[in-house]
Amino acid sequence: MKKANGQPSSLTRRSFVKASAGAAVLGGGAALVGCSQEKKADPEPEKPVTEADADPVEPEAAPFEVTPVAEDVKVSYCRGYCTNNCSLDIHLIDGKPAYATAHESDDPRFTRICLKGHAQPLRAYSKERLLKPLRRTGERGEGKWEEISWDEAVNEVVTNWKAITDEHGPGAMCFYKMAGNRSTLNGDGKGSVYSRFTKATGCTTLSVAVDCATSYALGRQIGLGFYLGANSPTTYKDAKTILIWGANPAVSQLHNMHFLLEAKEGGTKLIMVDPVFNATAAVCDQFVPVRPGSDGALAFGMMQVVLENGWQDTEFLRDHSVAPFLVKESDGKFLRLSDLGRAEAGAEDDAIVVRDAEGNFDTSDNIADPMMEGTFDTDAGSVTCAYTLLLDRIAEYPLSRVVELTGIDEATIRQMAADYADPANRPSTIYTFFGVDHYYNAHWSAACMGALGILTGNVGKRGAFVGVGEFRNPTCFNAAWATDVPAPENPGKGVFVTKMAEVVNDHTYNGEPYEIHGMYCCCGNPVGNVGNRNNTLDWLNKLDFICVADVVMSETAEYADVVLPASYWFECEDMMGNSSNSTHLNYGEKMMEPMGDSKPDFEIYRLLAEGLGIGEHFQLSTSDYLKHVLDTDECRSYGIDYDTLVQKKVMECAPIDYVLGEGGIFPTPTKRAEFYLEAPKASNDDSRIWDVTKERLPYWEPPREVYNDSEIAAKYPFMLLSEHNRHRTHTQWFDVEPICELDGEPLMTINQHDADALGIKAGDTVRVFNDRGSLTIKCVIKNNLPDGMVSIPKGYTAAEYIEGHLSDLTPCDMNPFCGNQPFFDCAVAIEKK
Amino acid sequence: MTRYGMAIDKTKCIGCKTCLMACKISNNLPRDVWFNRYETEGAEAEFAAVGTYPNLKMVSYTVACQHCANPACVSVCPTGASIQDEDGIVRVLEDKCIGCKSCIQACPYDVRTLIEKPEYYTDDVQLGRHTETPCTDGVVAKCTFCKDLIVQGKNPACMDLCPARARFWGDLDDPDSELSKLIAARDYDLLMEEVGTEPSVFYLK
Repeated sequence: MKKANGQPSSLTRRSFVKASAGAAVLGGGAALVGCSQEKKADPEPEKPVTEADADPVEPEAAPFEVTPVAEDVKVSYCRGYCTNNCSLDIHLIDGKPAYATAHESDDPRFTRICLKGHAQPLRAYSKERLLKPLRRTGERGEGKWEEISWDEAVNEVVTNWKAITDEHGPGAMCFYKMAGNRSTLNGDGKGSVYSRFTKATGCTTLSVAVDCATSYALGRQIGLGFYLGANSPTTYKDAKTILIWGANPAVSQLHNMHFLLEAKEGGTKLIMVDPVFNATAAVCDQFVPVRPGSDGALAFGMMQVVLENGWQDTEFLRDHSVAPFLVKESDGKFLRLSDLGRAEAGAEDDAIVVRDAEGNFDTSDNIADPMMEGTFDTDAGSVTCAYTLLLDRIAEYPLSRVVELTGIDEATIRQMAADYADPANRPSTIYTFFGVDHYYNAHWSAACMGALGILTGNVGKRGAFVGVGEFRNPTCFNAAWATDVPAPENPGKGVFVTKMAEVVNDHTYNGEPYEIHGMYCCCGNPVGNVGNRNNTLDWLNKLDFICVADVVMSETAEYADVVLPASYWFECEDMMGNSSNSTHLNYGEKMMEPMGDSKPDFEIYRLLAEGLGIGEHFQLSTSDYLKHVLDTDECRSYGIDYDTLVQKKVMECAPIDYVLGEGGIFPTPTKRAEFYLEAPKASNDDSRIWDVTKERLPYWEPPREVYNDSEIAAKYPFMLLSEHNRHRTHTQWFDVEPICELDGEPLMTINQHDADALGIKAGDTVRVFNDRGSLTIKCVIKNNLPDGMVSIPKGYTAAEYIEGHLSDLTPCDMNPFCGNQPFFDCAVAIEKK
Repeated sequence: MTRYGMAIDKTKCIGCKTCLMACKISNNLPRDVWFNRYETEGAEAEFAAVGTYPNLKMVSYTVACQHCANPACVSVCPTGASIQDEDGIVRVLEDKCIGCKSCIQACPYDVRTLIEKPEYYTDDVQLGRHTETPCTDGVVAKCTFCKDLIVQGKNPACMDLCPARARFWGDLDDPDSELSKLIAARDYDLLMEEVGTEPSVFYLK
């Protein structure tokens, strides 16, 4: 047989896929066999076969010539907040964007693009682009509009803005922005024009409370650093075991995947802990199916095994955690010198004290080998080592209970704990994202995972972290300059969008009088993305005035009174403003004129500011603005200034091999890893509902809706997972046709067992419902899900569903202590249509 | 001689479809035409794991023209429009193709498309690199390994950047190429090897 590869066969370990084996071994190939056989069984090709067909001609060689086409390459970056922030080369032919490729990074590990990046030109040319300002002429949401001039549009927004704020104060206009454009001039983030505009107008800023629980919990324990608890992806390979726990980087942090796969190639064991066998699980060494929302209980179980085997890192606990600190029984705070009459309370030298075996109390600087366990009497009453409190808490979770709570067998929990914590297998990492995050109990679960990391010394070193891996705002920007503008008297404050119903219906916020009567929205789509869409539409439609600026007619813009056409990313220069999983600062060139009459948000702010009488603060050019934002010592330490950034397009703005808490010094109040919090602060701002007793030590309770014995589960027996869509970012890219071709219509995934029980076959239509709303959708059957769970991809718009919307089903009720939307804590019932 | 081939690492492919869209846009493919597609091994629905929860397996890979050493599509062409170049690339000469679909029938990989009244996504802008083989009404189109890029010393569009670093491309006749070394060192599958087409795309496993 002729060798296709030119290699002697002795050098290859070729596997011969035989026809019979192909069906089992190479299913896709088998499907292709079936496909071609089916075709060959058809004797009639669609077009008549010519006589020549029976006697094919011998093909002749043909020359291949190419006439090169002149291209201009401009550098841009993707800014829709998938967290990857790819720098892109946009290839212009005849002056127009024609295709995109990855911009080559100085460090090839950070060269990146995905299917959405390749589709970028089609977003610029989208047929859904808004080209003129629009004024509503029918009812809200009816879709009746008239085109108006920019002068009319700005006048209408300003007139309504002033009328509302003159009557109720500056905070009565609220501003919703989210992740539609993670950029400084036209988006949000530290130093952004958005931050300047909201300060100058004094409007209420709506907080979206998304993806907030895990970082909140870990931030309290170990600080967040550059990567929300994590180390730089370049260091993943230094771990011996990585638990990918509640994350699906193969879909959601695509460009972290090669770092993880390279770690695996180098011998790191990848263990996926998740209820869903997802695309990341498929390339891991092990899949551990955890019951949804029971992650904290699993962490307790692993801590139990750690202690049984003596795998706790005593030295780390003693020197770098709060373990030896003494918690006062009286108020739950750490014992300090002032409690012993040796310093003034609250003074700078009022340090936390520890106790040695001889009974001496002093600061940890003076006691090298403090006690870590025990309860002692002092002048300030009874005190107990924080570590003893942790051990007592862990003791509440014997393995038998953890097995019951998590659905994972004891042997697997023991094996996982060994892989993670046995000193021979350290350092180890817990890589999480927002899979644990989207439950009502999320910050509790995350705190248990953090405590597991602290207990085993698997934080604060290369190869060891518990974190999210999303780069935060570049710290180097000059936020102080950006917001150095006068604010009006009695400015509005931050208000959770999830609580807008209270404000609009009761004219209170957390029980205190508060008025909001109008909304300005850009870079966001609350109707499509905030949980409980019917609730959102209800409060939205009670507002006196809504203006939405967007590139396309978003689901929120459909309910606006005035719609402003915003320019696309290619139509204005800009600079990354927020969040990605690389330490690179991206610059984007202007490469085309704004489409139609659209204007960059930057210019829209200026027009509105002029109308509102604060125009003097918005007269800068885009380049002058960016120069100011980059004018910091921290920028200079990386060699960053505006001109250099414009020339280089991509620059490092954080340490490339960053390790959080390296050397055991953590960005926390005590500089130690804090599994015990003496003064926990809530991120949900309603003090009426706080329960601090659940916050000090790692704590877990079941999720609210989707646990077996919840009352809600009795009525709505399925958990609905709103699954990340690999083709879209949130509700963006819905207007890109090739993306829609890949997507097809939205489908609900259900496993074979549940489908059989409900009498559902693939392709059947079902109604999915709960007390919040309903959705009609077709089904696909996949066994990736456990019994009792169905999933629907996020990102489809209302128009794409048969009836309803995914966000009609998901909740927006937040944990009393942690402001966060629990999208996955969503119970539904399903009926076949 | 140079003989082009490709390897796709099934232990790394995560089904992100970046290479599908790179091909789609760079080649300015019309509506509903894709030269490169995604497959989940052994599954009816894409990304459906095979097995019983939680003992599951899910293997992802992409399929485009296999540029076979013994292509089934070339010999059946009645007009000599389907040809194989000396570099192994199988392509269609649009001025000779009569759209009879013989090659589509013969190809076991379902990677050829008869272009019929092509519709494009943009009205007044032409996407793509403008040197790609155009999709012409009534003519069969397929992956050319982006031959126009290759002759300009560049990589095929689908090789621009694989996020998982799972795609490899190069000269099979050069034993020192990264591709040849990989194929020598790793186990691999060939799609439907039993039909004797001798594909030039190697699926590492």
